[in-house]
Amino acid sequence: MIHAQKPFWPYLLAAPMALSFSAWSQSTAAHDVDFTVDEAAMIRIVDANASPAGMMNFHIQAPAIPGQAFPGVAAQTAYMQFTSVKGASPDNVRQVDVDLIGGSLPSGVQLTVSPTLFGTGTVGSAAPITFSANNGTGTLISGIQSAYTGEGPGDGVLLQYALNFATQNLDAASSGMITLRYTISNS
Amino acid sequence: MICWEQGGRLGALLLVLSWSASAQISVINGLAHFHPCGSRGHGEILVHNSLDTSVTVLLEVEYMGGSPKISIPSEWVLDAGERGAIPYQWIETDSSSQRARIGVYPLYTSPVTRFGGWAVQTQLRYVVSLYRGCLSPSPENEVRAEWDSTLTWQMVGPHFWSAQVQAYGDLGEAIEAPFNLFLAPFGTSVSQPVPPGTAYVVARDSRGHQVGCKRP
Repeated sequence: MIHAQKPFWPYLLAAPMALSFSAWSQSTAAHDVDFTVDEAAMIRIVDANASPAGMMNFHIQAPAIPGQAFPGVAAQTAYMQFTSVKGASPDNVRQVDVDLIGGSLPSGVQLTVSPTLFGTGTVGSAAPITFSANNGTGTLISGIQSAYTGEGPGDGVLLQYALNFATQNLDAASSGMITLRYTISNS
Repeated sequence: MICWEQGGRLGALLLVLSWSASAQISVINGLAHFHPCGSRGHGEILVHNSLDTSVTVLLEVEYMGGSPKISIPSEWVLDAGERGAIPYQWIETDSSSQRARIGVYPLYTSPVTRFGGWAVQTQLRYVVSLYRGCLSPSPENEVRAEWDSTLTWQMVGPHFWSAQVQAYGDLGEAIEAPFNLFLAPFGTSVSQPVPPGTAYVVARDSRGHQVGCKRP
């Protein structure tokens, strides 16, 4: 009886080829790459030194000579710094609103917040808001998409605060606390 | 809290803007979430505390009519540098259209009181809009578009609709990149500027529904 013996050489050839295929498959293997982008909304208000804004004092001083009206006070500034990465609709456009939520301004005294936009990307468009006894809300910036303002000194949306008044409307007994709330939301 | 002080400074008024911007939090998973009906009835708001101290985050629900239909904690403490996932749950997960706005802001300390002036405190707040409901099965019947100086879209039916809007010129050429449109069934309208040279626009959703509108 003759037993046909399997030839051995094919295995010898196959072994290095298998090693080769193995090496080839290593170099072309598909890797799942999972990446996520934070759909971020970040906002802060800082002073000219990029430090969290502290006190902003408007001192309405008496005139030097009797009979004169109270002189105006110089406007002051702060910076709104933000980072925004939009997502799919409905979170594809954002806006910043400001509301006077605590206290009130006496009749005849107005506080105007005027924004000047600076930043990279779609920072939107800005409009001033005048707070008074009759108005306590407004949209400061609209149309924000993916953008950032920078985080260093002088970076950000310049906010100019101007106090307007007439002497006859002032009352030194007017004192209290006013809260301005900045809200960022989707439009 | 509003604290009024007695008296004032004769001859002078002092308006003090007391900033309370030191508590630094941010929202990092978007300011609007839409949950189509049939999907899960819960989600989360991711908040990051970038300070080196812990922060208490307050959450305030603004219901847009109707009874409360969402469950969410009112407070959440974040450790220094922590990213926290604040969970919320729609209580009713039927096909009705619902929405809520969640105000997210840090707990801040009381401002310094000053005699003889106004103290004005600044607060930073994020608002996250949450929507739940079904997408319109027939936007051609439920979506209204009106031309003015802008193009105004409105959902007059009881559903939501999400689409991409493309503007075209007289020769049918696409003008600029398409823009996103999201309509909610609560009477709110969405106005969009129209690129110069636009003759008509077509809004298409992911299911192939289209709504076209020709410029008058």
